[in-house]
Amino acid sequence: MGEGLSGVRRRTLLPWRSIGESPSATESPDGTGGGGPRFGRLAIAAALGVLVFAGAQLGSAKVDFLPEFMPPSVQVQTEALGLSAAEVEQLVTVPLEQDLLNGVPWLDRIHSRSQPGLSAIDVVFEPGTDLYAARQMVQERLTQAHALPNVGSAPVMVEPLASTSRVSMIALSSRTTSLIDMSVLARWKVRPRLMGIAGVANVAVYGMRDRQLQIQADPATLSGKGVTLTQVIETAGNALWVSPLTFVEASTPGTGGFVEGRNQRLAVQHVLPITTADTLGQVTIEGTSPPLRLSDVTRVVEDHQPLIGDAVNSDPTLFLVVQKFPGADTAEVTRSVEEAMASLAPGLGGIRVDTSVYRPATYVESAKRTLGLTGGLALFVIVLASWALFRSWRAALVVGAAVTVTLAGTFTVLYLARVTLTTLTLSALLVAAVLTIAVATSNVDAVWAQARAQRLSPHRLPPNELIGRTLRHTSRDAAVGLLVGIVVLTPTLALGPSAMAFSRPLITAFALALGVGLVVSIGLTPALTHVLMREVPRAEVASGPMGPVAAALTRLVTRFTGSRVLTWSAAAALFVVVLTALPQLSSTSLVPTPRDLNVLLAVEAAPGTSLTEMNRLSALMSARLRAVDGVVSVGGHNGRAVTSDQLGDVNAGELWLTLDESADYAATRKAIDAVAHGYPGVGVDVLDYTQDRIQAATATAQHDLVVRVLGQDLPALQQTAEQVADRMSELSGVSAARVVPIATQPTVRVEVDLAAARRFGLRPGDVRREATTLVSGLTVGNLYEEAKVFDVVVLGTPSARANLSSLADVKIDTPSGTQVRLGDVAKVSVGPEPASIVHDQVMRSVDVVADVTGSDASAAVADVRSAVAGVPMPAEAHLQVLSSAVDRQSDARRVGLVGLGVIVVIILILQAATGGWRPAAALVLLALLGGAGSIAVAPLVGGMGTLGPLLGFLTTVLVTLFGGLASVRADGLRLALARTSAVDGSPTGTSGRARIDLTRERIVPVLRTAAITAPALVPAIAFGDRAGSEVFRPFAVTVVGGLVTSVLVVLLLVPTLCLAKEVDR
Amino acid sequence: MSILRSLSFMAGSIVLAVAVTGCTSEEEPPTTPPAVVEDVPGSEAKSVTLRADAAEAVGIRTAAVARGDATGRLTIPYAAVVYYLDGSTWAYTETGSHTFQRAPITVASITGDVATLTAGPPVGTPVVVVGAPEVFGAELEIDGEQ
Repeated sequence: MGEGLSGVRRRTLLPWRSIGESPSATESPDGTGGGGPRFGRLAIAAALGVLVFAGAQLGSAKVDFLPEFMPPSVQVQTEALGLSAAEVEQLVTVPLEQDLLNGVPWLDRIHSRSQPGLSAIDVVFEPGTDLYAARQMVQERLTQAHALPNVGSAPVMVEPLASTSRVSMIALSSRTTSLIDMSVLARWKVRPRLMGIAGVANVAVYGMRDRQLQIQADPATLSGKGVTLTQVIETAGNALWVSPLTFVEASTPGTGGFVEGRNQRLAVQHVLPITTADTLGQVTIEGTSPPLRLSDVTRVVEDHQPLIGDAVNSDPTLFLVVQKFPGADTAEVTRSVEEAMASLAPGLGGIRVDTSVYRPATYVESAKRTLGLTGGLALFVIVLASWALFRSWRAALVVGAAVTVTLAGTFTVLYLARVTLTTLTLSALLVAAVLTIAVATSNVDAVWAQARAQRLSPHRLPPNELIGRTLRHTSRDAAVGLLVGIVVLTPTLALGPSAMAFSRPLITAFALALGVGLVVSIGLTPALTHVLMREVPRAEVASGPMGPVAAALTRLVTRFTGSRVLTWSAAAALFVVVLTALPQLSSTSLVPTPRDLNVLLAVEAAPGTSLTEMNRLSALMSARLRAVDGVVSVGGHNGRAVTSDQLGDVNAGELWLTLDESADYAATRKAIDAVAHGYPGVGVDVLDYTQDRIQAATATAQHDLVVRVLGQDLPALQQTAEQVADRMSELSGVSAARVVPIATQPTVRVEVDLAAARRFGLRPGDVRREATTLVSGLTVGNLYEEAKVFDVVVLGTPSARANLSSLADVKIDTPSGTQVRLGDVAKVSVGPEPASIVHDQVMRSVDVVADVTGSDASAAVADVRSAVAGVPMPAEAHLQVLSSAVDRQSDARRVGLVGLGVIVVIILILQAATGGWRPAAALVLLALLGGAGSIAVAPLVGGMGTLGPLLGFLTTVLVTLFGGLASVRADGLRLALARTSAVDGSPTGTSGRARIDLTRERIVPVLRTAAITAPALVPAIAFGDRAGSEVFRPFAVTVVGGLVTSVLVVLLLVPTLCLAKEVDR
Repeated sequence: MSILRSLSFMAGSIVLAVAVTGCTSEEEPPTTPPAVVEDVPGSEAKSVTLRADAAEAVGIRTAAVARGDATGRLTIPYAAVVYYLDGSTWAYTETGSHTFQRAPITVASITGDVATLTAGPPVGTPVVVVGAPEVFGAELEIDGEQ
């Protein structure tokens, strides 16, 4: 028997030397080979090192569900509180877009949205642009934005955000502390602390109530005391140190200076005595005699700004939404955020902090746990099954080491490259792992088979050379199989840019894993085999559970190899099963959906609905959702926050639900859907955050065909769009042509009547300034208190903006000292205005959308182009025809072409490996048939349209290919041997008898590979549907199903269809 | 095993496989939507019928049109006034069980929570005072399909 491990050091690791030399060279068994022994030991040492490194770093790897999929883009937001959508467009968006941002380098698309109070401009760059260089370009343009009218805050370039940027939502709630005080804490203490955490890009506070000192003036009281609004404004501004108003003296505050004496220099500091509403109220109003104080004519109170959004919760709450940078690790950032909040807790008094409103890190943690368990169990089962089926712990060690080192090596490379591990990376590793099992078991089988054959032959090669030669052959098989694996995935590179964001990480990880697997099978496996496997079982006995199966298969082999009818009908049957997969492929999505315990409800009411009403509705909805079985908590927000990722007006909001881990997921989701869709007059979408973000990224591809009418005059554009829609409905290849309505909401229009105004000596600008001050407020200065800054605002009493009548009753001061009603100098009416104005490529647009019927999208598009060419366009307008259907079809065509090319390349590779065209082509087709089993079981896990089953099918095909290739090459070897020993003439093919014998030798190896792989996948199936198993479980199910047909195809169909036929002489 | 047996076995498994792959998920039985909008002949306003549980979920409340004592004019709560897109003012009157229809009103003035009308539905007509925006949204046919 073998020497065992103690004899190792005296042997040379000859496989390394014999690879470069001819097989007939004689080697002394004890010959020392120069670099030989060191190289093998180096391989094993390197493998151990990789294992240790991977094990140590596994816990700290960056993990996320999906890779970054948003195109490089920059968003510029400008707050303009109180302006309507049309005014925002006029005063903010147009100057920014047209003068500054249009023409930025690498620009692909510029898209903007002007809505009440906010201008948001999205600058999207070409794929592959360096985001930080692009941001530099945009920032340079924005420095010229000081030339914008002074109607709101300065434009802000939103921080670069990850695709799924929300990493934490923190609720600060209290029944004792007021919301204004909580907002002060949030703005000056909590937010700066959170912004300082590495990885946090932005913190938006929903429900923020900025503390302001408000001087509320009632024009009636003012005129009774003989004071004008302008006097109040100037007094308030001059009472403070600093004012932004250029017409008051406080716009130049002056500096205290210093007193320089002989000995000492003393700095002079002025301390503002005004800190509260009471002290501000004591200030005397200029120009009044007897002197009147501000509190005599106005009400000075502490209050907050008009709200653009609010938080929804059972107690008064603020929501802090924490967003991360691209490439930041969710789990790491969440941990730091929670530590920060814990350290702030003592200083937050009676405020309750809840960091679990939305916590994606929970999903990541439980997914890691599930995958760790199922993966670890799988590896354990591989080793155990190998031991049971090879009846040798050494073989088990070789197989286990091959798989583990491949996975560890891939992980190490990805970790060192700082790549985030995602479900796509994981899927690639799963496929590679299964292939590695097949390669490793076939290596062991090959070595033993050769050793056994050696016992019968006159030439006895030394063990080293035997192992070397065998592994050289099997390494070639491994290389071919792995090369084919890489080539097979290349069609996904031909998909459009949005799909590439998902397919590129998948292919990179896969190619990397296959490459590492190849290195392992050429480098490590021979070294390990040589070290460990000196003893070879005397006879190959099909052991344990394989026994009866092998016997049945032997009978089947005898049947099938003799009968062409059986073989061909079996092939035809499998082909039919494979065909059933084709219709399912049209709805394929490469993107897995997480089994997330966080569910998001996007709620939208009619345009123009008030924040008060949205708060009421959200409270009702949250109460009912909390009562649903399986829902743990509900929180949410309506409207927006400053620099938030929500761009809707106050009529839109979101509710975030956290589900119970132990509840029935599907039933809970169904119950939530039932509640969500039971509200009339509001649109409710139930999704998870990842889906929401992907929808936002692919918003442009929602309709098959879009005709965009671009121009200036919206009513004229709408008319033109109607005409376009009419023309399009007459075409045959196009259906359901309709104009996308622009959401309008009732808006108050105040139009000054010049004649009436002249009668009172008023100019339109005067009327606007007075009216806006009384309704919306004017910031007259700032208060500085303990490193915080507060606004001082002059505005009207709340009743002035309570309804339309009180708005029309607002009194305007006239130069003559009297007051006049706003309704008397201006027409105050309500009319429709766009709820938000969308610009595409800098112009206003109205879209006409349609579906494409029939298979030829480009013909339909050409028809549409010619049909709409004759539509009369208003001034400054033009048309653009966009079709995602054409893109999809051309993508599909491209993928199909590349796929055909791939099949040709694979046949070429196989031809080189097998030495014949017929075996190569037959192998390719039979490999596809081998995957029929996965297609048959796919309905159990939701059909072939998702990533897991697709990869399962692919894996089965590759395993079948590898198994079939090994059979063909074994046959080729046998043929070559027979030719060299033939007496007269050479056999030109394999006789039926020889074929049966060959296949019978293949039964145990093929069966063994399947019998090791299948149980390893059982833990993943048994663990059921949980976080982390969205891809692994369907993959496991389809591979187990596919292995059945794979074994049958390799053993029953390959011999008849792939092996060279004997020609009768 | 005879050829016939193996062939029939294969045929059976193919049929089974195809049947399983051909299975589609069960269809959900259609339920009435939360709001049904119907045209009313002779009027631009449509009739909106809410499902009982939907009206309950949104918390619809109504109050009656009253006559103001001092002026003798009609009054309704300010919360019942809905401004339509073109600026016209309406209130949602309850015309049947959970069925509502817009009725035109002309607002003279609004003081505090009370709107005084110069024209409107007759005294005693119930108008929606809580949940009017949802009924408005239902009439505009804003539903789950965004």
